[in-house]
Amino acid sequence: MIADMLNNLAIGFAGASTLANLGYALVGCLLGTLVGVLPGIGVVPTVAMLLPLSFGMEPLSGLIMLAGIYYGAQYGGSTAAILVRMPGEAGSIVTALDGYEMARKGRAGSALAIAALASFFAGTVATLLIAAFGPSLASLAMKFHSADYFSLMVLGLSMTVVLAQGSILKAIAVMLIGFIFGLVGLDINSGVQRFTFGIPDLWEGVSFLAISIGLFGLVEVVRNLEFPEPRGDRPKMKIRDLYPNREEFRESAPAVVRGTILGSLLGVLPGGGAVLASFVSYSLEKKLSKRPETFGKGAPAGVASPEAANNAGAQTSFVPLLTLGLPSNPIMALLMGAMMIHGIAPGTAIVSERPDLFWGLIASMWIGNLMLVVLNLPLVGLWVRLLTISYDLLFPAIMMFCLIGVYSEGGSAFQILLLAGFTLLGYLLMRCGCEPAPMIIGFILGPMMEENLRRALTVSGGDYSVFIERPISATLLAASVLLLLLMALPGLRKSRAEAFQE
Amino acid sequence: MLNIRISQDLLAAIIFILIGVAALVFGADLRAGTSADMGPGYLPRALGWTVISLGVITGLRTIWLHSPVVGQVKLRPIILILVATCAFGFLVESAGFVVASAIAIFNSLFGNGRPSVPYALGMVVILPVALAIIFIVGLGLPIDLWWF
Repeated sequence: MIADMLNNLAIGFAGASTLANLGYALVGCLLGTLVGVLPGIGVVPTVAMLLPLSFGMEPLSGLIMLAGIYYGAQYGGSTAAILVRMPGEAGSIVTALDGYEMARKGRAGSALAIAALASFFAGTVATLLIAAFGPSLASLAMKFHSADYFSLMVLGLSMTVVLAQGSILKAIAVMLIGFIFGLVGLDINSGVQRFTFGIPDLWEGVSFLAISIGLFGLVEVVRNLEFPEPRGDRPKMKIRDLYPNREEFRESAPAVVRGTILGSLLGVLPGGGAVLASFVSYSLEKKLSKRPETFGKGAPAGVASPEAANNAGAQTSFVPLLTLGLPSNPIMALLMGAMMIHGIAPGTAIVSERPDLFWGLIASMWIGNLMLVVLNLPLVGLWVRLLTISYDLLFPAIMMFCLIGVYSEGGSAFQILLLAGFTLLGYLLMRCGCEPAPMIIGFILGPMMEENLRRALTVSGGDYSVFIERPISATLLAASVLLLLLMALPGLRKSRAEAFQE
Repeated sequence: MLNIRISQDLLAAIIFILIGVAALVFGADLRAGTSADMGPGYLPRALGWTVISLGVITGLRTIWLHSPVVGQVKLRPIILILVATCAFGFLVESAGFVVASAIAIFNSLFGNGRPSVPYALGMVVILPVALAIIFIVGLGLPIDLWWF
């Protein structure tokens, strides 16, 4: 099996390390970091905004660049978290706690290096794990019937709902609304148009870019204009010695290993385990530490562990997408949308039918991680300067990126109107305390769920008990029910609220 | 500035119910079929009713569950970003990319308050040209640069 894996990885590296693809990985990492480090732009908006850049490329090159953008944006987020305590996204909130304190003590360089090296280590391990277990998971998934798929997606949706901020009830409703938007267009089974109102632009469904760029890109612009974030101070300290000293290294190393394990495991869970992993690993380190009082005051382990967990989770969250065709978080939903635009259906078949793509992407993950370490530490001075760009100069450009992205896909004014509509809806939902992530997951998974539900029920003659008679399906459904029930318990609900508070 | 005094949950409930009703109304002519032979209207109907019921529960829940009020809504950012978006959509085909984006950018600047003249002039002139060079000249997106 190990020989197989090495052989497959060799195929992957051969595909990913052509000069052009290395170039795309480089461009992706740079662009991602560049945008991710900018104030007020998180990882999801970055990926959504830059998605259209990949459409003219070969599928593998496009995916490699997008993956690079994803890692880069995450890395940029950590940099902003450490240097100015402005975590661009949920995954780097914990990093900001101790990273910023380290920076204030003049250890900014060390904190950045620890974050980078921890991420690189975690990324390497997670890549190997995917290479080792991805294919067997995919072949296990070959045994899945439509009923099992349906239940798997139910589990994915339950996880998404549980991990969304705020009320679970509202998250479910938002997700089902996404589901409804996913139904727009031609119904393949009956050949009937649904909710198209005679508009040709809707025949193939609601544009994925209009909904994702509206909900994540433009709504963010409006939110930042309405609630300007207090500007972070320009970090005054010099970024001298980029290397952690021996003591910092000794404290971080075991934390990195634990964070990696935790992140790799939690990342696979559908529903976006990477963020959860960074929180859990931080509190684990705090419990294990001999000096828990240093946490929050610049403990190197408090940077190393969540960064490792976050990055390992980000990596392994590709597993459900590539093996089951199930996006586990909004970013994976965006990448899945990109794959479908490139004419690739993510899922069990991808390993056997497009091994070049599957292994190439895995190899490129590692290459991307390496590039980030090699590139970003020397470029830290540039990122620091970017952090201080005023939002006044940024937001018109961000808005135009969004508009160009949506317009370039179909080249029709209607898509732009649709974008405006989803921006308004997303804004209203934001003001009601609803997160947009469940909507995009519902939008992507919805049509697939309908297809599998229909197939399963046709086979069973309309008998819903098929979902509990098949063992795989029953287990998955039981897991979803359990998950939702657990969330209904007051104690857990409280700790979930606290986790989001921090 | 608009002050919305109803609670977040109540507004959410209203949005959910409206969308659920829309799904039922516009999906009314779709054949529902049976579970063994699902028609195109089966799920739209199921989803419509589910979203409506979730909306109703969310709304009723506000009676005993405290939910913060929506509060102050600054109308400037959301309205001007929407105006800018629509302006771009309507103008890009007839007026070309440069003019359409200049007008969109000009509108968006007011979303952030009253822009100073040199700043507005700089954004409206430099940004469209820079974007045109990157996306249309550089990346070759098939969008007309000018109206002719």
